[in-house]
Amino acid sequence: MRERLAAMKESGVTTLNITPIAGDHKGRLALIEKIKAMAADL
Amino acid sequence: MRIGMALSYSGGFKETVEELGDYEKAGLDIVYVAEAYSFDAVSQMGYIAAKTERVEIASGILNIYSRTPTALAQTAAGLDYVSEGRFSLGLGASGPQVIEGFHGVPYTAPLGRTREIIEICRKVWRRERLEHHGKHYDMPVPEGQGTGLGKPLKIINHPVRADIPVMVAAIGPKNVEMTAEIANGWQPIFYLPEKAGQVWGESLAAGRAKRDPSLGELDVVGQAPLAIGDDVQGFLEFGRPMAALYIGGMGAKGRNFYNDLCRRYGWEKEAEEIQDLYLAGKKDEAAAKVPYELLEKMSLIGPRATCANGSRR
Repeated sequence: MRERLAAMKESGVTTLNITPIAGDHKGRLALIEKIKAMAADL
Repeated sequence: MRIGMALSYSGGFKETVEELGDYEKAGLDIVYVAEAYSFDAVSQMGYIAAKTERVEIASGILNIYSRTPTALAQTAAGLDYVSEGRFSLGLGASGPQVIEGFHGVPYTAPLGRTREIIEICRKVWRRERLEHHGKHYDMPVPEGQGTGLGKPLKIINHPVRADIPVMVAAIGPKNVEMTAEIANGWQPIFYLPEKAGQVWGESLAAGRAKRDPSLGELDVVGQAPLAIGDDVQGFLEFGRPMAALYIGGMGAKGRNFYNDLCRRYGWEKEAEEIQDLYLAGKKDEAAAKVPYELLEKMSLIGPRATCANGSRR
């Protein structure tokens, strides 16, 4: 995932519009927290 | 990189908005509301504005045909007001199936109309008296074409911002070039980072060369499904029917923007087969032909172990 996120950034993406796939709210929230942390870490 | 989220137009909107408060606390930067031929996006974006405090709100997208240019400008100004400066106007041409089929409006001159609409919107937001005489739109209506009573008016209220961001959904070369020239942001679909330069590099460069520096850098909005789980292939397969619908089922033979994009990515044979099968009603067989690499490269899907904190994979 980190590799795909880095590829997006390197290609010029400045905003990533995600569709979180999870069974419930808690799962979707965890995905958003994870991707925010990964994006901040790039 | 900012993180946004697309809201589904197929149901569960109110329930999702109830969850948005948590998402914006988690740092979600922007939420995109689609319209297509579902409930109108404007009502829903007003609802989101009332229910949230920080997250930006964007249409993703409003089509350029079913509202007048001035109505689009008013709508954007109104949403920017109720959201206290959090709105971005996402525009797009949609497609002839929806525009001619659902709205009964001829699908003509998408590029020229988009350019004029953006110009008109910005005039309205700057509170200029609206006079625009372009190839596609005339306001006020010229003498001899109406009652002759039309007046050049400026919007009554003071918009929160005169520079509400405008984003354009575009994948065709000329449309992408125009977007890079005049818009604040660009929303491509089926964005493959490794092939984006090959497909859109020239158009982006040509548009940026004509870009007004006061617009700032072009916001490039990539899209990706996001999932963490050990059944990576299973998650990727979720995207297969939708990809087949767009590549095979949208438009007609020789007039399908998404099919053209698939070909430009280098999958000419697959694009042909997907369209032939889909148009013949063989949707599952069409879906099976969607290249795995397309699904994989436009997704953020990984197994739990490699997505754990500290993993660099």
